[in-house]
Amino acid sequence: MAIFYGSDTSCVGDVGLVDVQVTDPRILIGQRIARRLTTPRGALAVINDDPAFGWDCKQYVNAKLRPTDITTAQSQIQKECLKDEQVQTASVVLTLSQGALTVSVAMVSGAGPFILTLNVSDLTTDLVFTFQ
Amino acid sequence: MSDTLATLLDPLTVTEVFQTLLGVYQANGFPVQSWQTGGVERTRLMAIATAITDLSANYIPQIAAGGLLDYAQTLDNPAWLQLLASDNYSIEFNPATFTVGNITLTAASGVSTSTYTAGQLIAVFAASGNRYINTGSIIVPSGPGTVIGEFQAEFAGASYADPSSSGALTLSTAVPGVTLTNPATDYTDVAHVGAGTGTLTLGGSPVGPHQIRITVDSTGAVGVAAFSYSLDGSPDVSAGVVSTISDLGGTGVNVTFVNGGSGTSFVIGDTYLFNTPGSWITTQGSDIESNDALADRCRSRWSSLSPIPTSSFYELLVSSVPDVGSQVTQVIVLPDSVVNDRVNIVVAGPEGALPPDTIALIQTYVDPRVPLTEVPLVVSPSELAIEIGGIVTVTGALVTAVQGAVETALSNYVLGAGINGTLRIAKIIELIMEVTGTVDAASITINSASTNVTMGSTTTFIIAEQPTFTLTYVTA
Repeated sequence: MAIFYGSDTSCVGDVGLVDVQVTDPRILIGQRIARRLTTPRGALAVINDDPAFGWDCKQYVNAKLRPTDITTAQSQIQKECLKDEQVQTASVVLTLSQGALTVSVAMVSGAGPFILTLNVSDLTTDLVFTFQ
Repeated sequence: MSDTLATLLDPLTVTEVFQTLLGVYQANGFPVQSWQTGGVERTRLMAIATAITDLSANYIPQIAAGGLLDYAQTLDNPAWLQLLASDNYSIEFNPATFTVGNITLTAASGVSTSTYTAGQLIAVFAASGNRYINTGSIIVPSGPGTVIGEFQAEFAGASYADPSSSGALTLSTAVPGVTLTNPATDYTDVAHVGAGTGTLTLGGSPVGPHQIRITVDSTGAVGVAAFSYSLDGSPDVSAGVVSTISDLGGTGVNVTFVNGGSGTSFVIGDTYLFNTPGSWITTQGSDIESNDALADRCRSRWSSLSPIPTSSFYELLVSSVPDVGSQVTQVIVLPDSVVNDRVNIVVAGPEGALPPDTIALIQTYVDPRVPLTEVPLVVSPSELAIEIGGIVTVTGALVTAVQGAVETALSNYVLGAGINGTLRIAKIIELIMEVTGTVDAASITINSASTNVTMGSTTTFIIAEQPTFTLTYVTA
């Protein structure tokens, strides 16, 4: 029996001018994780929601990252992803190459495996997600 | 017992509002069960729920309280009570006002004349740090010479109450050869209430602080008009038909009556008010009217509906005088002990007695607003010098800190005693002992006596001056 994952408004950085409902489980969960990884911890407490929600990956942009810091960051991102009850496993690879930061999260959910990739360059702090 | 506003306005919680919104969405077919933390719609609803709760818990109670006097009085934003007072009671709140006074500028020999436009000079009192700015053009003459200029406090408020002859008074931007002083004259200006054109000339060598009121008892020019005088609010003493009063009441004050240039010089019922000594301050500034004071005035409004004036009616009147009402922070109302139907309304400000000009304005405002059978008399209390002495034992190195704290506490106590208040030795000891670092307080005296001081009576009205201290501090 197929699992119904519901629907939600499509939103990563902002909602669109035209409301688009997402029903694809991988996109649904992926966008949710993307929002987790762009929300500063405690931001939702302002509206009385979960104060432990969010781990903003922008904190790594232009930061001094030693190998041990990268390992720690991967662990922190992984823990944040696993907070989503529909994410069963998450594997995070954070690479820093010539000023560009890439966070690749391979997750397995009830709807199957999918990869979320986040690219950050040293020229922009915008986070760009791709879902595969 | 009736409900309170708090019990009637039980605010909704965020969870309650959120659950309500979820119910609405669910009823309209939205998949609310699948919305997890961080979901777009769920986050929107939480934000909306938070905003609605804020409205429910803060804005709505404030709006409701703003229409009820007892509750509006307690709101942090005074605008609610001010609106209520204006709309329901026709009472406008008293804004803060500026202290104004006269400062003497003395040019030393060799200084050439200079003209300073309004706002160009700033006088600074070193003791308080208060700054005053000239209100009009001041021409400093060639030295040696002096000129008196009017200065206004930089900001409104009662704290601008610097003493006369304060010393350490300078210009913020020094003018070479020009020094400042703020001496007190022997007398304040004479404030006149009434239609007569006659004036008073004051002389003599006054002894001690006094409030003096001259009343015209029969109309006419000098030699025809009869006068009486009241010293420090005491019953009037008839001086008869005189052209001068010498050594008025044994105070060393001499008064000469001078006919006006035209019209009737002295008109029955007219009063002339002056104080000795004078002050460099001509208008005492005041703080913005507090919520409590404004609410009291609103409550006193009920008494204005009665044909029988009550104390609260007089309190309402004296604190509602345009421009000077806010200066009145203390009022006592006492029937006169001698004259039938006369009511003494004793008023004072946060720093003590008010200038005669202010008293005259209040009298002018009150007179036409009382029943014909009443004779209200607005008077200012005399000021009593207070000196507190004694021995304070202090722990170790805390002498300086204790001294500052003790003197602040005692000053507040003395000034807070109000018109005809009582200063108690026991309270002074208690206040001293409450200061951290104090071990003992002994031989405490008020004006060299170890007894309580009760100021004033039913016929005299007295308020304490800023106290001086002769306390000896010893270490334990």
